[in-house]
Amino acid sequence: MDIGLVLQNDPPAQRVIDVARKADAGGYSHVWTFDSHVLWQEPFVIYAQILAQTTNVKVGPLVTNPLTREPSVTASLFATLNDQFGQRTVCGIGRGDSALRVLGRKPASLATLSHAMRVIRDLAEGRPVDYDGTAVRIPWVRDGKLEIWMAGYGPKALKLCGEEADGFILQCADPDIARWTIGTVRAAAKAAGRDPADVTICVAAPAYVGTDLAHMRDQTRWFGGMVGNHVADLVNRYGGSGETIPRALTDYIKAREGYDYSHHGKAGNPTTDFVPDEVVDRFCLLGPAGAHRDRLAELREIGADNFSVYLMHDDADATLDAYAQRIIGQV
Amino acid sequence: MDIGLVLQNDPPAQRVIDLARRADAGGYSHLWTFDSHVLWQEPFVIYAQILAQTSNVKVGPFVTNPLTRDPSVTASLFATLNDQFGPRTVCGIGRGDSALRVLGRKPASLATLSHAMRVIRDLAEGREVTGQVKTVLSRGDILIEDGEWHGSPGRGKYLARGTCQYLG
Repeated sequence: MDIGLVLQNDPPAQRVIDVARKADAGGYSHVWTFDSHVLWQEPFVIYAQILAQTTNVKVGPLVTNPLTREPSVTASLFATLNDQFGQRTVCGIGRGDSALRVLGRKPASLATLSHAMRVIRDLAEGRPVDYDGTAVRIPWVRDGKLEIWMAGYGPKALKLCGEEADGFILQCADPDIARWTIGTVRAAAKAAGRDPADVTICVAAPAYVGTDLAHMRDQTRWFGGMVGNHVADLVNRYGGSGETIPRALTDYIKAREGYDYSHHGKAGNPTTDFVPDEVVDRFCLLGPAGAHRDRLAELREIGADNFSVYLMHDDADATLDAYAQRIIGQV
Repeated sequence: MDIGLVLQNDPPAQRVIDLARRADAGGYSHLWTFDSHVLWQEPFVIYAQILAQTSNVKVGPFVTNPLTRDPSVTASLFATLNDQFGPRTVCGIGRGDSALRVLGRKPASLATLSHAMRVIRDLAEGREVTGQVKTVLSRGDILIEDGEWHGSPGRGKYLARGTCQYLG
């Protein structure tokens, strides 16, 4: 099972680059960052430096969106990096959350996301795209290859992912939710005539290797709040009765009251106090290395090809090292 | 008088970076590239590497435009590079030519350019922008003011949007 790392582009950028170099040396397969250019720094100029200073790790956003850059710009960014450094990027993409909400915008529709995924992949791989009657092609792409991994939680997003994406990103390590979402993605892939095994499955969640459970829960509670932004949208759309969306995903959201993006993705986010311990334990990986290996084995059984560690807590270096030494290559 | 250099981001990017290093060593003040992401490579990921490998030269697009990236993304790109490398970027900008025309689009209006210049500068220098539209006029009538709708049904005309709805 591949193990990736998810970082935030907090300044100084050199610190992000240094962590990426440690991850590369430690055997991690992927280094992802958030792409939310107001809350954090702009990721692509940092990817260029990570790629220049590492040899194996793949980089990409977890996740970008269809709206803040024209999709042909997104395609050109990936194609430029791949041309210089080999095929070492992955385009993680979703409807957009904080990058749009801090501008007062809403996430993109699934139709826009679908269109953007095709434009980005086709242009980055050198194929022509029709732009409302204008044929567009990036002429300098040579042997272009770009995988698009799509993030989503709702039934329609999962269906789109199975039909069109090269990978599925689930931001949550709950086995029940993983079983339901991965199953939905694979069923959609099969119905679309694809081999369901062709969709790479990436599960991403905070991981904290340690023994003080209460402390680790408090450090990773923010994640339940972040996922809650998406779940709240789903409950509004599909209801929380458990018929369409599993109860494991919807019940905790009832205690949620608003959300402050100024604390997005940070330990101690006060607007995520509503997230109960039980949800933290299910959504995240907490405990000694053995507990991580056990959960990863379970996720692998469910279909995960990649687990990516959100490394935002107060003992990041130790967890990074623990995964390199005691988990990577053993799950 | 400062002497700058204007390059195109033709692959391989390493060749552009090498030229920039020569320019830096040779006393050039600025290193510009076209910003036309379909015809050539995407410039900002190359600027990051130029800045990392030079010490004096300033870099920037010659020129970018208000439409292919949300102006807040453009601001964040410059702010990220300046934060890491010191204030060594300049934002060259115009209405947009080839970057838009190859997509079948027209250059931005001067009003859009003016708005984008203010948003990019303010955000990149750490000031707050609201971006809120205060008043919407149509043919001399006020349709929206102070967040209130003052129009009447039947005003205006529905314009269908194309599938490519990203560009303004």
